[in-house]
Amino acid sequence: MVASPHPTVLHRLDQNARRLLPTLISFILGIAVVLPVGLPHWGELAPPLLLISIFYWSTVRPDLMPPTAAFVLGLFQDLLTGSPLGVGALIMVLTQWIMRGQRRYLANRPFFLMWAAFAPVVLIAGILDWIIYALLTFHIVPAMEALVRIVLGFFLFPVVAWVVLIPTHRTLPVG
Amino acid sequence: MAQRTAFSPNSVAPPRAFGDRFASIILTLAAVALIVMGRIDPTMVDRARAETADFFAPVLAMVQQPLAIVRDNMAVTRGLFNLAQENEQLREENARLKKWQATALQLEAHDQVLRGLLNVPKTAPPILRTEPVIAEPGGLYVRSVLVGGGAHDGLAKGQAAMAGPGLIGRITEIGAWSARVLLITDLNSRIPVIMEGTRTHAILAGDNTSHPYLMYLPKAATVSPGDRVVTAGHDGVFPTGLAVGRVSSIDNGEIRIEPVADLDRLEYVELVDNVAQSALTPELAPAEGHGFFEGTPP
Repeated sequence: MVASPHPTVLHRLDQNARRLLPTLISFILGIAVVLPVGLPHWGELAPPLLLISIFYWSTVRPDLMPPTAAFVLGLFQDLLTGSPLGVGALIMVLTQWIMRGQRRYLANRPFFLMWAAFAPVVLIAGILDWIIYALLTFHIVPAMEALVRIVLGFFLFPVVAWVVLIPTHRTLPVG
Repeated sequence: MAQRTAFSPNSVAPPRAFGDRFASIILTLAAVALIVMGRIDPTMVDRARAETADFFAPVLAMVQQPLAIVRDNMAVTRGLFNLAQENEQLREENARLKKWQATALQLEAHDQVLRGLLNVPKTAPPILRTEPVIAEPGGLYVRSVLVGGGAHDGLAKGQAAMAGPGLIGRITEIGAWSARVLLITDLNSRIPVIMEGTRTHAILAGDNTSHPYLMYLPKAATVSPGDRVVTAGHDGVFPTGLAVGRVSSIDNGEIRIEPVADLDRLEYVELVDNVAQSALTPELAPAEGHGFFEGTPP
């Protein structure tokens, strides 16, 4: 994309609208998890699509995924899914915090490095989720489901990245 | 020319390191505060949830339509492959059901006579309202669905929700245009039930697995696999006698129930009005007929 020396109003409007794409995409992925798509156990497993999205954008374009956006998206997910309020927000803010400094190690590198970096994030997020839930309800829920969700999140990462995130990334204006 | 990779094209504006760190600390504390607050004042959180669900109900309902088309087409395609087999199955089931229907009609007549003899007041059939499921916000630790009807449609907190033949849960949060149904499998679900055969009372408790279990069942009670469990309804909110499930396993005194309704595929949910409410208008009941079986073909 070649920026003209005197960008028109329309052009600037378009550029600014595109800056909202990371947040918008994350929002849509957050909604997708709760839609009754007709797959058995989809709702129960709730693949961590929002986490994938926030992880990706915080790493490659931290300027377009500020802490506030991560917080609001996490909170929105908590409200919509009915999980304890604040847990998702906490996980998203922490993810953004940790990943926004990792750009130099992960961006412009082979994709599998980023995928490998997602492994500990999805693992810790899953464990945190599980521990907070156990503390809040005084009830140890079977760890199996948490485990399934972590593994599912890990394997969905490249799919979501290649189908949704990377194509969106290519349309973004330069910082 | 080098292939544009995903990560190369964009340079990033210099991070506002200080501002971001400050924001992260504040927001982390805010999230923790919210978690604690939700624990202290759950009603406030419930209200916030209901408002959010209300706000997104139109969006979710809109997305339903294309999804439903895809779902239906998939079902049709699948159905084409085993039409013959399904036909055979249905024919067999139809024959069996006809026998059951004859038995049911007979029993109903019998019931009417006995009720007449004992002067038992007629109970009005529960009023049903059907709403589409607009979201399955299960999450990892919650079993619930969001339905596209709310207080404006006459729904109220505590009403029972059914899907086809069986109970699926009750309304726990109500907004103007949407309501959340807590499924019987949820960790927090507690429903008074009775064993249909023995009339023994118990509480059906969920634990996030697909098979809820029975609590507070008297030690002397005899239960065997296959026994039917129905709602007890004496908390004044639930209608009596809604089918819930069958005993599927008894293991070390832990009795698990297989729900009648298919909780994995919920598309429409019937909300059952409180019996106490419908009993206020007994004069309507005779006009609507004399029971559940009216209108069934002979």
